[in-house]
This record gives sequence, structure tokens and C-alpha cells, in this order.
Amino acid sequence: MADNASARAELECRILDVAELVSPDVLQPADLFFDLAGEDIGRRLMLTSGPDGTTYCLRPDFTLPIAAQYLANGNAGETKAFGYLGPVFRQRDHGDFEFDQAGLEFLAPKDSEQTFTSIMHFAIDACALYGEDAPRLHLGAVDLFETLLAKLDLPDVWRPRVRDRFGHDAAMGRLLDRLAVPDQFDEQDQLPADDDELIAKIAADMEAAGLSPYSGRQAEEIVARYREKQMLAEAAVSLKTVRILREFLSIAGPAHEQAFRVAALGKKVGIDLDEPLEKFMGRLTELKTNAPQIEVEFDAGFAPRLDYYTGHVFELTANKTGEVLASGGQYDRLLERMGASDRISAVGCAIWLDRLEGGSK
Amino acid sequence: MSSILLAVPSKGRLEEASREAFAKVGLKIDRPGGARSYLGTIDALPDVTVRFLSASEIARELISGKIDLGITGEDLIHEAAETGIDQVVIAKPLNFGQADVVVALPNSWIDVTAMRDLADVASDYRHRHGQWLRVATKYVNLTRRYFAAHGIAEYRIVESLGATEAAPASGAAELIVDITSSGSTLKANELKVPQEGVILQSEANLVVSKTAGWSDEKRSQLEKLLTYFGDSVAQSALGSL
Repeated sequence: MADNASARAELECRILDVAELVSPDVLQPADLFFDLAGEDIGRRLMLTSGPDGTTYCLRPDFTLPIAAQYLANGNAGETKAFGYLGPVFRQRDHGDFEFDQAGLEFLAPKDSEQTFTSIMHFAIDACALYGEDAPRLHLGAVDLFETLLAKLDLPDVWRPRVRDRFGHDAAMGRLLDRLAVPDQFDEQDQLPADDDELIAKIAADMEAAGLSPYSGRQAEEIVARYREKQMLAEAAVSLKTVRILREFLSIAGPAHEQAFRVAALGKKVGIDLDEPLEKFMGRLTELKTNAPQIEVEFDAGFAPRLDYYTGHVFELTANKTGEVLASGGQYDRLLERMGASDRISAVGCAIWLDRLEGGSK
Repeated sequence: MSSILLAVPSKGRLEEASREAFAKVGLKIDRPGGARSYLGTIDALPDVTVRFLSASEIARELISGKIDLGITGEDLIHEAAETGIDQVVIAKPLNFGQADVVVALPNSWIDVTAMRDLADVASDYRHRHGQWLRVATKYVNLTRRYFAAHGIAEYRIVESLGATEAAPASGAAELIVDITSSGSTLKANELKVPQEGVILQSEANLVVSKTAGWSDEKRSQLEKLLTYFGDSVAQSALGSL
């Protein structure tokens, strides 16, 4: 079997075949990561600060620095293919804090479907270079969930909250419990029944407490949510909706069967999921033809807990250890979040070289 | 001959209470040089060297193993390092310095009565304002862990090293995580603690460092000291080293 050094050299050649190899600064402004991923990523960052008080981190991944560079260079909207290979830095429970990753980031690709397919095969082939010929492929479909969520009978205010919990099973479970059986509503004494009066009262309380009327939560939003809680307690979200969400999220297993389960669920509850389902079935057919050795699993609740992912997402895991060897997906919301004026499609993957190289020793 | 190093808070009420707690079990801590001196002794235990340090310094040095045991708060251990609590053994709560690390938010948030409300608010805030809800605190590690356990991801921490309770009024943050003993500071600032908002009930503890390097000789010295606080205290602490 090829040794690590030659596998790595081969991988680098393959990156160069399809992309421009870039190496963003190791030292990055920490805000770039905090702004997009919040405090969840905070505990993973290796932080340091500059003399002017700016907080920097050692890059924890390549995706965000590459996207930031793309926008800073004024490339927004231009089709670009970037590749990388080098160290990233994260605090983690197991393994060194510095480890190597390789990967691709295709920004504004002409055909994002086609690009996803080739990036996924790039990742499968990268694993094979290290002797992992048939890793398990774990697929998720953010678009399928978002389509379902948009069409469910659910007060609009709950849609983004449910979306924010997607990819976090425990938090989602608690939220669905709460929708099904709302908390008892503690009517607070002596609050005006009229909304305008209540807003005026809250605004006066805020002023008395010295809270700025121009920053933080406004009286209107506090009252709106107070009324909404009141309404939820009086008329819970339809149990049917909660049941559909629970049933959908429990769908996991061999991909082909699960696709049929999704279709059946959609049909049963009268929600049209045809478009994302067709796309998903197309993905499965393609995989069956071009990577028949790969066992494909689908998990309807699987998603990175980063809301800029939009389409399919995948993970390749080692058969023996279950470790993630590569991961990737479509993230059409990222560049817009970072300040691009329009939505720009993007697809990428990261290969965990440290695990592949450790495994083949 | 080796000796073990015991760190005691260096001033104020914590120093007094620490020395009282030791005196109560028959261990009188002497500070021959008075408040300006940072070394002390215990007559009954000549193998023990006493150092006077600030409580947060004691937490850091226990984690790194530079001192063998000391008196400090659990909150400070958590704050000194994310996995700091795994590097020490809490040998004995000492019944003073009680304080809670709590989540506190404006009284005017009438829609928030429990932590689960805060999960919704954090999510809504980001969608509505395009910014993260901000939490001012010096307890960065505790906050991250507690918020994650409650499924709250949509927020950012603003580090605050003093007068944290003023952060909502000054506009530096929307809510805070802070330590409180009587609750009066929170009350004065029109802040309330939601249900499940108590992150940690802390008090002064006698804490043993796991990383200090425990030779047989030091172990027996430690056992001798801890036995003053009861046989079970000594046995369970030594068993966890």
C-alpha cells in the first residue's frame, strides 16, 4: 500500500488538477469565526490578542478564510475553485490541537449539483488513496428539511426556531416537547391587557432600569413574545405538526429505504416534497452507478449546526473506527452572511488527513 | 525532607474564614510576618508549608500542580481552565464563601421565566437584529458549557472583568452570567434569575491538586493533614488522586 508521503503527494496533484491551491494566513481575526458560528465554536479556537486588543485565532478551518479572501478580492459572483492542504488548529478532546486537513471550496460554481457530485467523489477517492476503499457515506439533506418546515402548519414565529435546532437532536427534542405540551403560562399580575399599554409599561420599566431604548431587546419584541407564549399555552401547536416533525427526524438508515419513507410520509400528510426528493433520489442513483462499493446511509436529522448549509451534506466515516474521514456539503448562505450582496452558491469538503494517515500506519 | 504546600487566601474575609475553619479542627495557621508576609506555618504539622495567595491564583496553581492543596471556590477552578475541575479533587466544602453563579436578565423581559425561553429569545434575536445576543461574564467556560447543555447556540460572550451587573444598562450586553451571594446587586440593577438559571452553587473548598506529583511521602503528609477534617475526607481524597 502507498505510504503516507506518496498518498499526500498524489492528493496534492489531484487538488491541483481541479483547483487553485491557496494557503490563507494561519493567524485570522477571531471575529470572522464568532460572527458566523457564535459561541459554539469559541471553545474550540486557539486565541491570542494583538497589541491593539484585536483578538486573533489560529485558523480552525479553511472554509471561512478562503471565503473571506474571495470576497475581499472583489471576486463575488465569479466562479472559482480553491483547494488547500495544511494545518488547522482546534482545541479538542482527543488528538493534537494542530492537525492537517486538505479540501476543496468551489465558489459560485456554474452547476452546483454537478459540483457536489464531483466533490463528493473527490473525497471518496481521497479516502481510497489511504486504503479506505469503502468508507460509509452518511448523507443529510438540509433542503428536504427546510421544504418540509416551510410547508408545515406552524405559526411562522416557530419556523426559524425549529430551523435553528436542526442538527442538534437534544435541543430539537426539547423544543418539540415544548410545542406539544406547552409550559403553563404564568399570567403576570397587573399587566395591561392592551398591547399598546403593555408596550408602554415595559418601555417605562426599561427606562427606569436604565436600559437603553436603542439597543438590546425592544419593548415591542418582549410583548410580542409574551403574547405568543400566552397563545401557545391556550392553543398548542397542532399535535399533527409535532408528530410529522418527529417522524421525519426519526428517519435514518440505508438511504434507499429512507428515501421511500420520506416519500411515504409526505404523501400521508399531504406535503409536497417532490422537488428535493427527486434531487435526493438522483444523488442515490448516481452513487449506485459510480461508487457501488459505498454503503450509503441517510439520516433526516443530520446537518452541521451552522445555518449557512442549504443543500445536501455528507460525511465519510471509517468502517472500523467510525471516525469522520471527510465531510462536506453545499452552503449557499455563507457568502451572503459574510456580506455578499446576493446569495452565491458554494460547495466544499474537508479531508481529515490526520485520521487517514494515522489509520493507514 | 520534602513538605507539602498548602495555599490559603491572602486577605480579607476569605483569609479569616479559612484560618477559622482550620482552627476549628485544631490546626492553627500562623502568619509570622503578618499581612505583609506570604508564608505561614502550622505548628501541629511541621511538614506543611503555608502560602498566602489570591483565591483565583490558588485555583490556577492547583490545576497546574504548583501547589499541593489549597482553599478556593469551585467557580474559580472552572474558570481557570475548561477541564480544570478534572485536575483536582474537592476534598471538603468549608461552609463559607457561599455564592451562586447565575444567569441574570432584565426584569422587563416578562416573556422569559426559564432557560428554555432564553433559547427562543437567542434564536429570535439573531433573526430580528442580525446580531448575536450578548452575554457579559467572566465565567466564560461555565457559560459556554451551561448554554450548550440548554441548547442555546445563538449568542456571544462579552468578557467582563468587573461590574458585570451593569452591562445590560450600559448596552455592553443583553444579559449576564455572574456570581451572587445575596442577590441584592442583581435586584438593585433590576435583574432577575430565570428558572434553572443557577449554573453553579459554589463555596470555599479544601481542594487537592491531582497534578502535583504525589510521592508516598507526600501522600502520607497529605493524609495526616486531611485526617484532621475526618477519616472519610482523607480516604476519599487520597482514593481519587
